[in-house]
Amino acid sequence: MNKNNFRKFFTTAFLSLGCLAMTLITPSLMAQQTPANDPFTIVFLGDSLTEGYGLEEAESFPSLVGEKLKADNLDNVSIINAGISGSTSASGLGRLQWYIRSQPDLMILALGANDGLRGLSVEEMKSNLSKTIDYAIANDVKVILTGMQIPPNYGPEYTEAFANVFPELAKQYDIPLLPFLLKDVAAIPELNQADGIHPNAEGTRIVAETVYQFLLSYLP
Amino acid sequence: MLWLQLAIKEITNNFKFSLFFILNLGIGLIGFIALDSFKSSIDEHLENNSKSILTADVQISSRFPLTAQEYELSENLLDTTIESTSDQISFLSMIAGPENSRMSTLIGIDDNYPQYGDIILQESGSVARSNARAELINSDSVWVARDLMVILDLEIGDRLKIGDSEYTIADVIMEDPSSTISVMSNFPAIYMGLQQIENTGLIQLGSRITYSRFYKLPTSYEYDYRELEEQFRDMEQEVYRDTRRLSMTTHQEESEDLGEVLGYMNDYLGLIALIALFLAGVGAAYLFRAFFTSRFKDMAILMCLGGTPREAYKMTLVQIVILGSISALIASMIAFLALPLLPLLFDGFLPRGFSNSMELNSLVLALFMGTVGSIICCLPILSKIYDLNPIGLFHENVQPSSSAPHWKRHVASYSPILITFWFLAMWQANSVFVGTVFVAGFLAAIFILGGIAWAILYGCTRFTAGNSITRKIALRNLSRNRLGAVSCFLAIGLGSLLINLIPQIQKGLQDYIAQPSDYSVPDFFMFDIQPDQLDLLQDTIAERSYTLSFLSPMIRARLESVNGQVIDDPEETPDEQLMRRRMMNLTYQDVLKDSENIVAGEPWEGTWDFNSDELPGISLEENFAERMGLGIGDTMSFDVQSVPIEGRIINTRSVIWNSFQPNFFVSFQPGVLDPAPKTFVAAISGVQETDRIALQNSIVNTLPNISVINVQQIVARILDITDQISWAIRVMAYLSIFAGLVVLFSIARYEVKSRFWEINLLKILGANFSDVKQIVEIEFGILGFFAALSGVSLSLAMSYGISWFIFDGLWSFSPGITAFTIVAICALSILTALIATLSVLRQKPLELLRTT
Repeated sequence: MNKNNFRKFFTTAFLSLGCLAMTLITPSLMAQQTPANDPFTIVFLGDSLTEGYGLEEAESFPSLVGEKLKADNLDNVSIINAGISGSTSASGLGRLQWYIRSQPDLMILALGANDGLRGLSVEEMKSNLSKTIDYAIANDVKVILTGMQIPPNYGPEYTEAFANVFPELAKQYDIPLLPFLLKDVAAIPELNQADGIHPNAEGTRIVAETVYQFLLSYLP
Repeated sequence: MLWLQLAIKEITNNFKFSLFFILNLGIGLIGFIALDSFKSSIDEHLENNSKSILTADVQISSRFPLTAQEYELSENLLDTTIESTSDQISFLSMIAGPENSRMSTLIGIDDNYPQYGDIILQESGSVARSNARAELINSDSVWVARDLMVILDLEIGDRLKIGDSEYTIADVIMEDPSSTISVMSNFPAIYMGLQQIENTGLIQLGSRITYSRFYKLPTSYEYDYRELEEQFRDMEQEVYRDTRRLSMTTHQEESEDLGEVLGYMNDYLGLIALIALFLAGVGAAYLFRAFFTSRFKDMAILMCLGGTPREAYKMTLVQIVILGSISALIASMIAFLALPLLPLLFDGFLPRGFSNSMELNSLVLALFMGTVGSIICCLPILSKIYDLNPIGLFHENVQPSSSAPHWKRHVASYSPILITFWFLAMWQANSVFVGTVFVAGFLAAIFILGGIAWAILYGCTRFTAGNSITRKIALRNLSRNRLGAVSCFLAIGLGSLLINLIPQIQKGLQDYIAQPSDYSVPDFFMFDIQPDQLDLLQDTIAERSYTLSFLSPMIRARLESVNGQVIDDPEETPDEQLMRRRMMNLTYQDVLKDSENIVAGEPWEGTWDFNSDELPGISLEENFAERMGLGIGDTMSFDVQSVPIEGRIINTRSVIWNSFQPNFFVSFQPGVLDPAPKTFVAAISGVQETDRIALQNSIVNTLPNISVINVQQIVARILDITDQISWAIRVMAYLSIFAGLVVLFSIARYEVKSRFWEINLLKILGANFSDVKQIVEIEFGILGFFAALSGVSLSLAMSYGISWFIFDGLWSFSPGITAFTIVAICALSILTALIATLSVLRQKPLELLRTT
């Protein structure tokens, strides 16, 4: 019965968040008044790697990227951490539909790792990611895709087919691809938690740096 | 040694009493030994079960090859001789069949695996009893889980490509105890030799491998696994500083889910054993009291002949010890012979895997309780010897002097009972606190019952008016003989309390551990169902005539603050922090599931109104609320995927977790979380055995992202154990009730015998049979009814208290049992009194006068 009301509520909630963000950035807006300082929202749509599994929220890589942006005076850029542990590519579209209400400008799509770890069909994953990218593009959200690899013990055919999905999609949609999210972190015991797959705080700092450096060239 | 001879002579001369005494104490002791043996047997069964699941006592594992130094450190920590070890390498890999492929768990084993439990193969049968393992390890062959054989359409003898090499399928795994270890990793197993797994070429830089060593330790090795894990963690931190490389798993941890139930059960059974023994003690004391009263004259003569109270004391003491020892020996003998016969007698009725053997500890304890216990129980009566005066011989009825015994002697004679009872209670309940509360409750019950009795008997004097002479006499009897009546009331009341207490707690506990029959146990659990997949999923399972059940939305959120306070306590350990600030799975629902009940607060009405000034309602699972220190009215703020959502706790609910329905700690009122990104969890129940794999395959093929977990195996294992526990509890409850009834009989019999003189007098005065019968009926009817009512009411209060202290608030009222107990005890009191009166009534007054 109150469906419209809920929508209203969430829209209001987001608007309030937006207003808060606006209040914070208003002085710089007033000072510079340049298009480059328009609010710019990045949504990190991902899994446990994005959520910061086993870490404080502030230690997750999207939060660290946010800090780096602030440190570089890119105050107009706001970050939404949309990482959910255990989520597979199948959840991408539904979740993006939720975040689209906050009118993101850029989506960093970091899904797929759980599909690989659970041995799900590579074709299915590709199709799920495609639908998510299609929806983003249709809603004027730019997309950066992050590549993923799975450990060699999953077998050569599967690991290869899995890793190929990301460059193929990047090519198909002509979107930027960060080749491997866990570059310089994966398989290094000192940079990972005891489970061997989730980066620890130090590892996450490296991931944040990798993402940040890649991201810089796509910011307004 | 005169008193020793006299004691033996007394026993043989009073054969009837001796037999009764032995039987009475024997029943209590049989109960005690049986309860103790059951307890140990179940303990052992569960321990073996958890060992066979882990296949070892302790497992050390790492994501990296274990080093000699790591072995050494771990083994030093175990600090015991190691009976044997087994090494294992395992990892996941995608395995392709002719048509499709499936993620599987590859497990490389050595010739010691499994050290506990067994793997059952289709062709070779038991791995432990065949040479299949040696053949596997020394060839390029593999064993493949049955599910995987079906999914990949494989046959024994087929070649299977794994990594760089090909392997022959030598056999099919039918039963694998370790398959229940990880519920969530639902990947079928492939076993191969340790050397062969290294040859697959899949172990490379970056591979996710688990290296494990399993330890089998001596059976005598005892440890606290939490402590051991902590030491292990400290050791690891010392060696690797902040990097966690190793993990240790103990078999006890494997059965942690059952640990709570086991803990409850042990405490409960311990206390039942104690109650059974206490009942036997009360019965024995009453019998002894009746006997002792009748022997005052003999003792007075003994003293006239120069005996001292000390010698009379010794004689009686020896008598009790002899009788107590005979009881203990007979009880042990019966238990020794009967217990191993139980599985034969109750074949099919006894739970699976149950082996009942006599515990030496129980025997020793029974002997101790039979001898020392009976002395302790009879001490207050024995102490009366000191009040016995030979001059009493010149009285018609020899009685100890009526002057109140010295309070010091009272304390000295009653305190051993109290202290022994207290120590036993602490020992059986495994806790000083629980044991003390139990004894304190008991004492409180005695005082309360005494007070009620006094008040009721006082009231009797007010109702003596009226025409009925029998009623008048009965009420006046009660009122005048108030001390005797109070002790009778106390005995019956206490008996009723104990008799009702056991089934009362039993019901609560059984409700908790046993699978409720009105819930259908799901066959499959499904996770990660996307909202837009629901229709397709429903269609897919409908094709095979099944339906989805317990469909629940699941929303991931992070708890941000409680009552406006951000959760950030620097004092908390990392684990506590993780627990408090962990990501939570929320749900929303308009009505409760049948496995849920509101225990505090109110249910919400309808959907939350966005325009309302109120916060949306939150319902918390009661134990979760307690752990978090939250109650009704508190507010909780969540970060629901970047949107702050606040709610107020409006109720807490109990959840029957073993209904195996999907349940959540935190549930929101509908209308708040509905639009949030979510997945669904659901179950499918009532799936035919033959349909299982096909149904699972069709779901996985249609919607590959959905995790389908076959919970039947896990459920079956848990049900197996809970069935066993429920059975033991039921049997023990009946045993204790039986002991209680014997006591009740002894008490009523004693009380009527003490009315011997009054009844005789009435007969001399011309009362006929029916008058006396009526008087006895009224007297014992009133005593029995009020005592049973008070005892049962108290038992309800006590069982509630006990449930609250020990069993985490599990309490349920069973009106049927309660009403039955009151009626039965009342009827039994009257019946026993009548039977005892009958023998007095049948004798002629003159004969009675002669006998006294």
